[in-house]
Amino acid sequence: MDNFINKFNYLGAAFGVSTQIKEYVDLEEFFLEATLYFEIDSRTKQAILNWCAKYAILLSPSKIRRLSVQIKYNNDSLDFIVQFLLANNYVKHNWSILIKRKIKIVINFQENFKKYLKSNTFIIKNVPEIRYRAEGRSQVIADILAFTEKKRFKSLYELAKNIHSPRNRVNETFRQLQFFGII
Amino acid sequence: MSDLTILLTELNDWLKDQGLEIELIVIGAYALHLHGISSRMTMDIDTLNRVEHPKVISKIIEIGEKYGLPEWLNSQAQGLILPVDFFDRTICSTMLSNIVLKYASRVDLIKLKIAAYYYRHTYEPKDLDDLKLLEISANELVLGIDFLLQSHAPEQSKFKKDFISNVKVVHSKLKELLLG
Repeated sequence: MDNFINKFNYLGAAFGVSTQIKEYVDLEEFFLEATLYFEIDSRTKQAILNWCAKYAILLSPSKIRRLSVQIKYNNDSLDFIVQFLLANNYVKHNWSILIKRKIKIVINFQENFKKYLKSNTFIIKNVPEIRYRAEGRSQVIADILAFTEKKRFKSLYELAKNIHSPRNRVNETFRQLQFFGII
Repeated sequence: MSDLTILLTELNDWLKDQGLEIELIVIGAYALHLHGISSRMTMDIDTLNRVEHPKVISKIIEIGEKYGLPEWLNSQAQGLILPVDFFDRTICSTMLSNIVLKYASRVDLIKLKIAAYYYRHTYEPKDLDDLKLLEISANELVLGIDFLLQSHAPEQSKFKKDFISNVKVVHSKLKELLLG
């Protein structure tokens, strides 16, 4: 739980002071991990929903689907969050690929980014994982930039594995970024 | 230590440098923390009084910006109906030199949480979470319900009857949820 809260704080929850996380934090992996803590208490639930309402637009549903066969998550909570996001137009229709079971969404959601989340200025300054996505870069480019800003890697295979992205796309994108001197 | 204590300590150090002192009367989740009831899910410090000094207000905003927590210290609880003699029962923390940090007594926290639960339970479950953390006794629940009946009852008698029956429903619900 503490590990999750630290990550959540780092990625924007207003549960206190952010701990600088030296390791790269994968946004889609975090999203799936959040489903495990969704029902823990009402403040966490509201904070997760607020985070999703604000940041889900930056996430890749296809990457979430790919990751969902590799890591532990809560299926019911995932169904709930995705359908909540779709019903409230926080994400586009392509998110429906994540729905396994249609459910009726009944929730008292309080959208209050100021209360539940850290400020934009702070997050954009301190969280490269979100900054590069928010700048409009593709998921693979943003993840490569965020990863390389934080960590060294020995091979493109290792990089692809860490950012949970297909090797061929990572190879191609990395070379392009290198060719133009961006990294 | 709650993360918010880091921000309070920073404010305290600055106040010390400036030779200033402020008083904060705290309720809500941070008061629970000051009672040693630990929850990492404290998002802000709710105070009953407002800081008036412009320099101090600027510093509070500056600290909030530094940590990305713009609402870390707020006086939204101002104007709340308080139990009789509430201020006589507040506890004064000695952890900070230049902030007189007073917080609600356990019994008053319970009374306020029960009142909050009465008004918000249909859409805000955090009050129930806090009441569970407080592990209240049957007697404390009665004290909370009495506070609600005495201090929150509408003046007009035509609404009083409904109010009393609604409070009774909430009482049995809380009994079931908190005392089993």
